[in-house]
Amino acid sequence: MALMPKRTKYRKVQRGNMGGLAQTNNKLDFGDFGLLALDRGWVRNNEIEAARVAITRYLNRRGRVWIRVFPDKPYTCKPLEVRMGKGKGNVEGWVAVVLPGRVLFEISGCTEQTAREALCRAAAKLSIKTKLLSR
Amino acid sequence: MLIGKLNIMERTEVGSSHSKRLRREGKVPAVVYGLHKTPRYFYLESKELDKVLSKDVNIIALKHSAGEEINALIKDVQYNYLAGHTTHVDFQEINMNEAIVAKVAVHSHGTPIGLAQGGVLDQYIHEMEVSCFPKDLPEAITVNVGKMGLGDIIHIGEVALPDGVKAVGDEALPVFHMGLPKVKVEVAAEASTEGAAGASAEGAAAAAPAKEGGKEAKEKKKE
Repeated sequence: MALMPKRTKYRKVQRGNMGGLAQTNNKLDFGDFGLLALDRGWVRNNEIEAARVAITRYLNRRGRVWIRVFPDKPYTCKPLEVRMGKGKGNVEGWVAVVLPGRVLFEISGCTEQTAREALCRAAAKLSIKTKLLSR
Repeated sequence: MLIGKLNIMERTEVGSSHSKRLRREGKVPAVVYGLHKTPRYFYLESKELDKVLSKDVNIIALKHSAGEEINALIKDVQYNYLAGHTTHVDFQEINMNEAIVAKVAVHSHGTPIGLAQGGVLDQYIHEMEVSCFPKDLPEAITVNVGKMGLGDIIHIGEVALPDGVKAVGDEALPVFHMGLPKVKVEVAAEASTEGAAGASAEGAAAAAPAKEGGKEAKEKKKE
């Protein structure tokens, strides 16, 4: 099941701005190691899911994982070869708006080496630059 | 009680532009308050501060360039979380003969029994608030987790503290918990959903011809 809200108030939203730095969720709150975003951008739900799967498969039932972002923003696209106008496009997917400094994933209950490798694999699935955090 | 030492220099100019200039020169702006005195503004060397912050130091002897010595607690440290360096420090001046409330790091000691049973040790509290005299303040609180089995919890009230040290706050809050990994549950959930999805897909495939057949039959009836 893809990561997306169960229900929303509005079907489509405007694109919005992504200014500034992450003022909240910018430090480790649960785990001992984490992945911190260095870029700003939209992180799609399939990227988050791919990163989560990469972490859980590498940890192999050891440790604990926290996902600190949720894709709650719908994005729309117009179909191919369609002229401009005639209303907004269809919802194509869901994204999380990520600002620099946002903690994306946290891990605990494993060694630093394991956490580093797992988070490195997760980082490879994401479209933004990240760095490792430790307590 | 571990006392760190730092050299501080008084700053006359305050404000963001002056602070930025200091940071560019490898210095960190700081403020000292407490004991009902008016706050005083200082700056210190970034390298010295990083050395002190890397250890579990509670009380710091701030040596003023004029010769004065101030005993203080680190109340707050502000970081640039992208660059990873310290941007500002708050010190709280203390009287060594008066009881204080301070935050102390909590560490685990030993290998829990539950770890061999497939459990994961969760630490909910990394810093504990304690009340004591400055001379009794421990560097860190070490909790023995060796006897923890699956599902065991150590609460604040059960943590063994040194003499003269009292825990502040709710004693029912958990510090350590030995639980089963959520990863296992997620994998199990994944497998079940995959199975369900597979089953539903097969079911849908089987049902699709039947539906089509049903539609065709309806159309024939209409004709």
